[in-house]
Amino acid sequence: MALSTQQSDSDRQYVMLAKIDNARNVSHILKAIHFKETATVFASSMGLKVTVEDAKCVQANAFIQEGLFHEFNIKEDQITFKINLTVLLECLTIFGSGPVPGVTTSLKMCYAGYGCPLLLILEEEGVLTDCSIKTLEPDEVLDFNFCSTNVINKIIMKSECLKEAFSELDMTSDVLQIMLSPDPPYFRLSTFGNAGSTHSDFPKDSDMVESFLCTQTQTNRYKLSLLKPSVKALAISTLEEHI
Amino acid sequence: MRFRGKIVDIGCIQHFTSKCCHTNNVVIMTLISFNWMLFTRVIGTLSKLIKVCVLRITSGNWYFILSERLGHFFDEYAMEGVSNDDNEIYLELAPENLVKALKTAQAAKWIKIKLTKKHGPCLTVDVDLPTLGTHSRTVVHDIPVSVIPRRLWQDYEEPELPQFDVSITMPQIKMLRNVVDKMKNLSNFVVLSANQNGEMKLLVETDMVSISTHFRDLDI
Repeated sequence: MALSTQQSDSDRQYVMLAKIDNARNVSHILKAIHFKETATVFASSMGLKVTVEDAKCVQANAFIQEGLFHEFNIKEDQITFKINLTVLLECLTIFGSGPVPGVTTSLKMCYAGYGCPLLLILEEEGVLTDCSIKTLEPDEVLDFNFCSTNVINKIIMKSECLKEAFSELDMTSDVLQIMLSPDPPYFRLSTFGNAGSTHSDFPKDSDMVESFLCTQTQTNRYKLSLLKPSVKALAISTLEEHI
Repeated sequence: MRFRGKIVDIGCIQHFTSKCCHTNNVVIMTLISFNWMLFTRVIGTLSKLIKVCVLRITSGNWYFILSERLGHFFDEYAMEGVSNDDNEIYLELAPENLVKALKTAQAAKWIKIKLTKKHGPCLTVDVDLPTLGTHSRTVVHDIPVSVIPRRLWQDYEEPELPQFDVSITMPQIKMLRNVVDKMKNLSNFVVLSANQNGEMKLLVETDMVSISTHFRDLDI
């Protein structure tokens, strides 16, 4: 009982206060970008953006819109802190990560400002869990400067079949070559592994392709180990954009 | 020193109660009234807990020390201890071997467990497997054991249960398990506290995080 009175008094001191009815929504989306231990959190009036980076080469962003929260209050324009994502996820799924029908975990997230820990209060069926996670000094994050005006090739497709293609990639290959072209084979994924090369082609008139806007042939090679984490995000999404 | 027991009951587990306590690094598990299917599971759990355990056989009980008491468990039971005064047997064995032996007994008609002397002292598990025809199929496992001399018996006395300050009903085991599972990933130690108001708290503290889970309205 002391807990509830204490909370309403101290709620005013927090620069960020977010409540959500189902903590699983948050843990689900954060799992998709969980390929590094730490993440940088940006909170603004629009919602929460969580960024994970690896080797200054790959960046994953999860954006949780303000509308998804039951209550979302923020007192500063932008709040930035770094946090251990593994620990955050463990806390969010403390009552179990698998969905249990009819049972939801409600979450209250509070942050009192620079140098303060992130407080999580989770509740499920009358059982309360308080978590206090230390926040870290935020790092500079990469700005890839993606700009929508100078896009050469763009495909919007259903993530389902891309996920399948990704999961079947030959992992003995170091690189994945992505080829986009206005002419056949339109969209090709290639690997060059120990056992030989593989190519997967997606025709542009496939049911899976929602839109196909390619102006010139473009071939890029990416390190497969860096692309691998994006498969996790594909698994929970319905549409994927490709630039 | 002789021992022989036979289990026939393959029915479902009935009236199964178990009791655990910890004192002086000895775990005592008391099991009352169950069949050998459960026995298999107990040994399975046991083998994960410890490499070597002590088996003490008395006229009514079996003690695995880390210790188990088995009652109403054998359909036939015959034992003869070291002497009339000390009518008990203390054996040391690797529970893993017993698990392996009992694996074949999953579908058995009956199993017979005997203390035998082959090359050395052995606990012999005789398993009779069901057949379609009239022939019987028997699997015999010999598990080497070492007999513990009488002078060391006192080391394996059943510990006294300590007096409780608070005795509380555990919350839903599934939820408790989830919580403890997650906490296990973060720290090696958990602080468990409970009070007379029906509240229980699990607390984990590390450099990075402190988590406390509060359970309320538990029966005292």
